[in-house]
Amino acid sequence: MRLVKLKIGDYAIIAVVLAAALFVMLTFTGKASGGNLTAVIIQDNQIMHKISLKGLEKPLIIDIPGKYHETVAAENGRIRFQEADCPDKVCVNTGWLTRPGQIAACLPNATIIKIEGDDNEIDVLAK
Amino acid sequence: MKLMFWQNNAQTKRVIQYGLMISLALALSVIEKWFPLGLIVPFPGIKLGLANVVTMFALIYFGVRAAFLVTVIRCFLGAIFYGGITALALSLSGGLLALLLMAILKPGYKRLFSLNGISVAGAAAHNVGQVAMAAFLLGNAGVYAYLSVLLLTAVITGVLTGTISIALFGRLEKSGHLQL
Repeated sequence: MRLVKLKIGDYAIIAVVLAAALFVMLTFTGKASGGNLTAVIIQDNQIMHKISLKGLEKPLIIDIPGKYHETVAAENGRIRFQEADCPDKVCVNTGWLTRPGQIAACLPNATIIKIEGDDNEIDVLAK
Repeated sequence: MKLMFWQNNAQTKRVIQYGLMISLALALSVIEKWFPLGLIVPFPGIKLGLANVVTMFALIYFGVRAAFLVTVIRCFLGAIFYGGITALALSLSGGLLALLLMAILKPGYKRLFSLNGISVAGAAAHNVGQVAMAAFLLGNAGVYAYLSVLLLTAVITGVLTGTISIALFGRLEKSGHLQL
């Protein structure tokens, strides 16, 4: 008698879980290291700042003017909206952006931070 | 006026049965903290999921309602004993999503799935629920990256608790103690 008994549906469930693990691995961790990370800050459809996040020695604080006042913090490999006096705080709550394709947006102030990488594989997966 | 929480034997029986299942689930979730799985796989959130043996038992022999009660009460008591409010949110989101998926799979039990498959599905759903709640609490979708490792271990721990359950439930059924 075998110790572990599996039925046909069990194999299906295990296959689905393993496939999901693989999918998550490719989507979220695949591009975490290596490659360039460039953060772009866009306001009113115009590029305001372009920051290379790889090897950023000391943290960078950028003030964003406009209808509402916001500060963006950039560190080695990551960037986020640090503070905002906009009403909903969606941008701040988005947290750190660390991988190409990630976006944080403040709609009231028409400001977007996004991270661009060397290739757009992530974008394809995300669609 | 008599102070009575339950009126007849059937209700008394149910209170005892549920009480046993809840305390067993709670005891198992405390006991599994003694196994430092974190030393083998240095990763937050990895555990055996022994309490799921009780959830599956409740689900299969008592139904979804009983399994729901056992899960929710176990999570609240666990939070009081060793967790806290964050742990409560994490264990509830994981536990309830796991229960939901296992309840969906239950009609296929014994025909399509054994307890191994149901347990793996439950473990995976538990991880998904927990990570989603963690991402929500932290306000950072980056925690989803943890999910790949958690899902891989869910297969192993799921088969482990599933095998334990198969042995246990089989024995209980044969022994004739499962007169419900």
